[in-house]
Amino acid sequence: MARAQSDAPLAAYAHELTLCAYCPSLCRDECPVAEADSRDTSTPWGLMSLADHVRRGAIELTDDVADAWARCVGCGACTAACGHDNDVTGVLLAARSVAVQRLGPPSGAAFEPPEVTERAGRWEAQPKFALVPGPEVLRNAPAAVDALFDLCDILDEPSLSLGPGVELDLGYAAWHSGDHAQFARQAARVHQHLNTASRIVVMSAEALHLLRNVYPEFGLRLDAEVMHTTEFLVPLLSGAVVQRVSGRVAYHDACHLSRHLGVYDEPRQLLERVLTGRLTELPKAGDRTRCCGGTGCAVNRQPATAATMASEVIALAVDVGAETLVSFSPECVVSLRAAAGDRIAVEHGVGLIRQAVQSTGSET
Amino acid sequence: MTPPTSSVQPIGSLHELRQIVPTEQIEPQLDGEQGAGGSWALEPATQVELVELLKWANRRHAAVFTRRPRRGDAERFGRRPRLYLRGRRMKRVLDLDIVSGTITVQSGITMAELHNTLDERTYTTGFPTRPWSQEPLGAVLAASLDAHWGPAYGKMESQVVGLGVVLPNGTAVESRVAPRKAVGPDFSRLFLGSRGRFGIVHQVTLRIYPSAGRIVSSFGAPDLTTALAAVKRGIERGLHPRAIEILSPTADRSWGRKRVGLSDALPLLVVIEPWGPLAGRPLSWIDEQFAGALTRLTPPVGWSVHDGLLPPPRAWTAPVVGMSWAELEELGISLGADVPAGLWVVRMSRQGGWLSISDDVRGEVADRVRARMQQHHVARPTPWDDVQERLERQLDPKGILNPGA
Amino acid sequence: MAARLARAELVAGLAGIVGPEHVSTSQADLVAYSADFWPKAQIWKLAGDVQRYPPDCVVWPADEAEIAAVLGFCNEHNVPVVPYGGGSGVCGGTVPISGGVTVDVKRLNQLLEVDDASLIVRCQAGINGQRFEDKLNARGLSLGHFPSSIACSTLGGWLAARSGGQFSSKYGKIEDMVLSLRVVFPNGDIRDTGVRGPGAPDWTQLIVGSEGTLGIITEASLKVHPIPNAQRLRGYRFRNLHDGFEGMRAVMQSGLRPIVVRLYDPFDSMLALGKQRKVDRHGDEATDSGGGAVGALRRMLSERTGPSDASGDKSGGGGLLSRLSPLADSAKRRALTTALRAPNVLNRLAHSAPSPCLMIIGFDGEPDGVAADSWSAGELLAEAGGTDAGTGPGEAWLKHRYSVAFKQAKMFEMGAFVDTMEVATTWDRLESLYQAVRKAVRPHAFVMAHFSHAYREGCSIYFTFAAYHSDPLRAEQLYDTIWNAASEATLRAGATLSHHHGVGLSKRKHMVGEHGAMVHVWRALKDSVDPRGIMNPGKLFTDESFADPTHGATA
Ligand SMILES: Cc1cc2nc3c(=O)[nH]c(=O)nc-3n(C[C@H](O)[C@H](O)[C@H](O)COP(=O)(O)OP(=O)(O)OC[C@H]3O[C@@H](n4cnc5c(N)ncnc54)[C@H](O)[C@@H]3O)c2cc1C
Ligand code: SF4
Ligand code: SF4
Repeated sequence: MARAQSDAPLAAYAHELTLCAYCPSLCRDECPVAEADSRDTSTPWGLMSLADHVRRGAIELTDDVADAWARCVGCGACTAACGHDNDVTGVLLAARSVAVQRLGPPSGAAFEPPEVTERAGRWEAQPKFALVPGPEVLRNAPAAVDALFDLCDILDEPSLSLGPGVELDLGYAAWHSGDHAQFARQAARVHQHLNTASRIVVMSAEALHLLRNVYPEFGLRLDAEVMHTTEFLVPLLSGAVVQRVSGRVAYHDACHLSRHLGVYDEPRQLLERVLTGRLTELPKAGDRTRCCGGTGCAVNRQPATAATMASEVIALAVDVGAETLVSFSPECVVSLRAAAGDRIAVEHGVGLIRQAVQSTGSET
Repeated sequence: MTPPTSSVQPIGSLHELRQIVPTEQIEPQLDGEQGAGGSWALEPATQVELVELLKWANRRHAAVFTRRPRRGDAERFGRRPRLYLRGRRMKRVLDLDIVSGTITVQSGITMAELHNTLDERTYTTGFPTRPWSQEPLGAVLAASLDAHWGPAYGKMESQVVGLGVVLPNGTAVESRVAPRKAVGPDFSRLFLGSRGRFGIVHQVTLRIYPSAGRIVSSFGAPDLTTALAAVKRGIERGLHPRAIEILSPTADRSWGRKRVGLSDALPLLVVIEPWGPLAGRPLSWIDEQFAGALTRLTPPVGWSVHDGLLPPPRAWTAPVVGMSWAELEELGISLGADVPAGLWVVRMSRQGGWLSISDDVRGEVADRVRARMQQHHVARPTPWDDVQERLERQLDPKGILNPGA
Repeated sequence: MAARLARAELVAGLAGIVGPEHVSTSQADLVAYSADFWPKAQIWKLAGDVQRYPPDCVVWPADEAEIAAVLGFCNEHNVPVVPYGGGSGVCGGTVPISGGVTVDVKRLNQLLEVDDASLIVRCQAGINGQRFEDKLNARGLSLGHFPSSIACSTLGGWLAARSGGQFSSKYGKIEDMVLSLRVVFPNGDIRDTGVRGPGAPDWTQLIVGSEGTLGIITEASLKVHPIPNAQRLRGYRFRNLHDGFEGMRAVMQSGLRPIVVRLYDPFDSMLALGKQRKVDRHGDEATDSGGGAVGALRRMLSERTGPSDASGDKSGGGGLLSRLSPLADSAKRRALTTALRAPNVLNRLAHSAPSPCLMIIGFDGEPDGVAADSWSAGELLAEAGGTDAGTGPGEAWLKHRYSVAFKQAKMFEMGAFVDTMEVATTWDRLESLYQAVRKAVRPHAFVMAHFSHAYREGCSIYFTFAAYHSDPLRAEQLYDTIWNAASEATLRAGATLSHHHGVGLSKRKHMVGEHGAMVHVWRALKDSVDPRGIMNPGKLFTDESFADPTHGATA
């Protein structure tokens, strides 16, 4: 076998890579992708080992190695389970970026953002308080936008608005797949549009992660205060009159929201506020949440795996006896809904809150 | 493979056998027909003798039986010398290891002898005490197991921690004694329950237990469902007894039934024997737990109760079938308030138990029980027959050991 | 064996069975499936040899029928088959030394049936261990099987290698939990061991432990338990090992059924107790801050410097990193590797410490029973000379019981290697076994031990050894030397070579010593179900095991 040159960009991660390569795959059960596709190659151990072998020149960086790295959805479950807190997500991101530089960008159709039309009269040429729903919402769950604006109307928050540029792809797919040149170009465009706002509400967890954490890494820090829908709603809802919703409701933490951004409490506060009963926790919750396949590029690249992942999360909810599974991430809602069938109802949290918040009536 | 004809006359065979075992251990069987290969009952005393006998048998294409002679043997195997092995001289206790809690004995020892030996030192085996007390241990392990204790639950086989076996070709094999192993399959299991098809068990190492506290608690139950529910709850609350049995006396044992305090309203007896003083729960706990759901019988009955309630073990020819708990519960529901006489559920665990009903009990209710047991009947050929036959051919290519079994 | 199929034909044949997307010959997959967690394979990896024995291809069948078809196909064409579960084996059991097809059974991962009334479940063999336990927990049940590898191993692998969990003293090993299983033989026949006719042996126990050499296990029926309402662990200190043994034995033979009893030898006790004790009497600066080789080793191997606690608190993980990272310093690293080059001295230093032996014992069940049992055990242990060390050590162990495995990577990162050896014997031979193995390994590796998996009639000893050689080739030789010495000592002491890790490649050459003439039974079994020898060839026994029938006859 021809020995490749050892790989300089990966050399920076020698420690992380070695830890995984000689680890008996101790986070294996937590990796949703490997569990869904049943391949040891797709485990954190498998992917990191390949990277370590490439680093040391023991194997060549080939398309199928790059392809394996691309299976990771970046959910971070491995790191949460790891005794070393090993940053697999970060290292594999770097590995994918090495692969793109070496082998070219991965194939896959470019995302064409849909037109954003004015909604509920909330459209401004230069919104000060901008709503960034994210592409998934616009494509698949536009009702959540309407529900949010309805809520704003009822709760007297007139300034949140859509505007030009909010439909732009924030570059998540390019960033995640390691095509960082493409991402940087895209991010610069987005930055230009959004930087005029002073506050931004983001619906997608991935988008929030990008704007808060990734854009700054690329020198594109936004001046605006960037918040998630849930963070936006908590104070807004505090004085609201709610007609509590009954039923056994479980909450699914989106990986990016919970593990990458630490937003655990706000969604729970919101739901506790509008439910008659206690919120049901899944056995995998908070920073131990299980990815439903809505993130990474799984839905496009490995649809069968993504569907299995979603189905696993549905099973968790069904097992705890939940009737409704709620998420505040549009990506999660879409993938969970597709997998739920008639096993359980899947709701976007904003929709549920909208149900509970009445324009008139009393709190129960 | 064409079986070669014996090349020696009976008298020649006898001469050769005498080289292997002392003359007094050879007894000619008088069923031999004219011109037959000869037939002897042999009483080997050591593993070495067994090995040599089997080697001899392979050379002479003899048939070696670990059972009594049967009518028709002469006809079937007439041209081959026949050796009927007896375990009488293989009864020695080779090692009583009190530190590890094991005993190593030769397989010819009868269950009664084994238990007597252990009793003297206040130990016992994990075997049921009474059935087959006159059978040699080897026979119980090799032949009777499946017939009496079914496939799945709390196996008697698991009391065996080591075996010495002579294979049909005369190779002596012995398993290494250890509490648990992970060095391949448990090969010794091949010889347990397989009725001497694959080898002759001559030495057995068994777990032993302190025999202290052989007291039982006994209760009366109105029906099977109630009895099962009480037992289930007891186990779930931490009862880990040596034995639990549920039984109803056979019809001809009405005196015994009265003696233990059973009646038409309380037809079922539930017997519970805890381990020792520190095991699971003490007797008082059992009494408390069970007295709520069942009726305590006073005075408590001992294990000899079987004598008074059921036909003696040797007369028990009815099949005994392993049933899961769910199946037992279903049976309980289907019986409702009816309890057939001669019902017996033994060696119960939280997974299930063995069910049997005495042969001589007639009637619709008893047939209902039998119908359920019938569902477990394994029809011939069983899925494993071909594998077992291949295996037998591998281990005994000449068909020496227990041929035609 | 007849000439092998060309790879393209092989792949085409398999793709016809499982679908092209479930067959792979990609480099990435072949590398990933070329070894398990056998430390020797890690040594190869250290040397840059990351795929010494790649399979020809890997398949992921969807169900039993596909497995049967795959095996039938391979049998017809004399292609070796390596069954593959989690690949967490530590003996090379899944290393495709003859190439062929690696059959990953992980797509068979469904919990098929839960019989709540009988506490019996039926589950497919490819299910991940932790996922299986999670699914049972969701139904209020537990298997009671907690191997340290629960996160990375499968039910099928447990059955195939006779796995043992941390609570084996009460719940038994996997062979005690399994009621029956389904197995696919190389000719494609599917058999259920639950069907046991009159005069048949217990096939379950003949398939369990076969390490993929007889067939592929596809599903099993197992006993389960309601999740216990209470659990209580306590620590006890003993002046010496002997007293500890006697205590353990007394408890196990009294009929009490603790979930776990573990006794640590003096050095291992120090780790488990987390005592920052000055161990040096010979000039080695092992101080509280952990300088010197023994201190470094202690911290390296300590269970207490575990990662996140069981509830998933991550702060511990970060703490671990900061605590361990100084070890990566070249100075510390040099100190440790230098010390490992002189294992005799290191062993002497480590074991010269006047440390008591720690025991951990625990019970579960109903609260009142647990309390009563703990009390009874305490009495017995006190009688044997034990002093109560409170609940701390037990709880600490419980919290960190899976974390020790994280240490291994650290050792390999330094270029050193670690392995574990779990032997077992009856109580009467236990102490001499311990001494014999230590004596045999001492010149070659640093060695420590604890006694876990106690049963009524005996106990297992879990040795951990660590060694170093700068030259990978010599490291491999050193590894073999250690294993040979330890194995021979074990067999001489009358013990079994493995309590729960299995045989694979690592112990196969000692199997004649272990089994004696019983290898004939094995041969017969193998020839009966796998006459062409396609199933996991070269595992469990070497072919030479059968060359000389009289070789290694029973001791
Ligand atoms: C960190 C660590 C800790 C460990 N701790 C323990 C422990 O506490 N207790 C313990 O018992 N073990 C332990 N082990 C060893 C290992 O986890 C066990 O041997 C486990 O049973 C292997 O399961 P697996 O699914 O990974 O099997 P694999 O490694 O994939 O396979 C093991 C063997 O079984 C065969 N096999 C696998 N699946 C099947 C199947 N379905 N049908 C037939 N054959 C099959 C393979 O061919 C191979 O020979 C540990 C290992 C590691 C790395
Ligand atoms: S992330 Fe941690 S637990 Fe997972 S493989 Fe790497 S080192 Fe092991
Ligand atoms: S980040 Fe998620 S998908 Fe990626 S390797 Fe870790 S657990 Fe698997």
